[in-house]
Amino acid sequence: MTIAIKPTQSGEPLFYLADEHPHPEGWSTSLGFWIYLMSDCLIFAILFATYGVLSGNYAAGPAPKDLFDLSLVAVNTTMLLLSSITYGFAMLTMQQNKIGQTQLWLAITGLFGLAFIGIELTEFAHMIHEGATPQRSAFLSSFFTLVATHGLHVTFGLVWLVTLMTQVARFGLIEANRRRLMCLSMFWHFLDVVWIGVFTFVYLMGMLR
Amino acid sequence: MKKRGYQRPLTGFKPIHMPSSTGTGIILAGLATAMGFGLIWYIWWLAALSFIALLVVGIGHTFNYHRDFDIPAEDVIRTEDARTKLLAGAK
Repeated sequence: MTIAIKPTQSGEPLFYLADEHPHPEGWSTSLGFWIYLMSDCLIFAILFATYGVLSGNYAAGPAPKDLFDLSLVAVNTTMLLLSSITYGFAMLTMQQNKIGQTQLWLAITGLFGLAFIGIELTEFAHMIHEGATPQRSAFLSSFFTLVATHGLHVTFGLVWLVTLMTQVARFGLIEANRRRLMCLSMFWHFLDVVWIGVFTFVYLMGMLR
Repeated sequence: MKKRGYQRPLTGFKPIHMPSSTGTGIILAGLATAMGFGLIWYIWWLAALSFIALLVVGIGHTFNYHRDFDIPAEDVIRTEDARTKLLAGAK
């Protein structure tokens, strides 16, 4: 890309692109995806801040100690962390062009993700059954908003995963699919990092209150 | 540009990189409007249906891998030459 700056007859400088720079397919995807991830990060930052403000307002209702089952949450965290590791294996096998193994690791990642969602829904159902609904108190409103937003992200990540597995099966590990798998990889690890925040600030700190 | 002394180039034309035509954007906009209408007026079947349709159209679009094309240099040269002739004739 050359930017021509040359004085014209009147002495004013001239600014224009003398050369159109190339835009190969996918050249800006990672920048755009990082901007997306960081805007998503802002959403979680706001939800964490809201929870931080409201988490002590029980309205004479149940507190974290009465509701949370730490061993269940530990299993859930393990599911999500393992799914991140297996996604890492999928990316490694993708680099080696082993399409079958990539698909296998992606499928295992999906199963761990599904287990995570299943356990989370069980936990929610249990809480709602005990009367700890989002309407009960400010603590529960902000709890359900934060944790369910994360859960919805994982759910859509699973839809994305199945879509990509279909596309890899149909079109192979072509450049576009590698780029897509890389984007989902960043999304998936990002959700893992957010969950570490949820686990620490909502569950562990909640039990200490 | 004319005021700043821009000279119309007559040579050195290159292929022009173009995005392919797609109707997905306007279809998604229509479905999102339908979903918004359904959500505002509590028409849950419409909201649910248009949400599913949004997902299907959005995901369906990703199965189209040919998203761009190039206008070949010859076409650009031909068009620009015709323009040069037209401008010369106008004088």
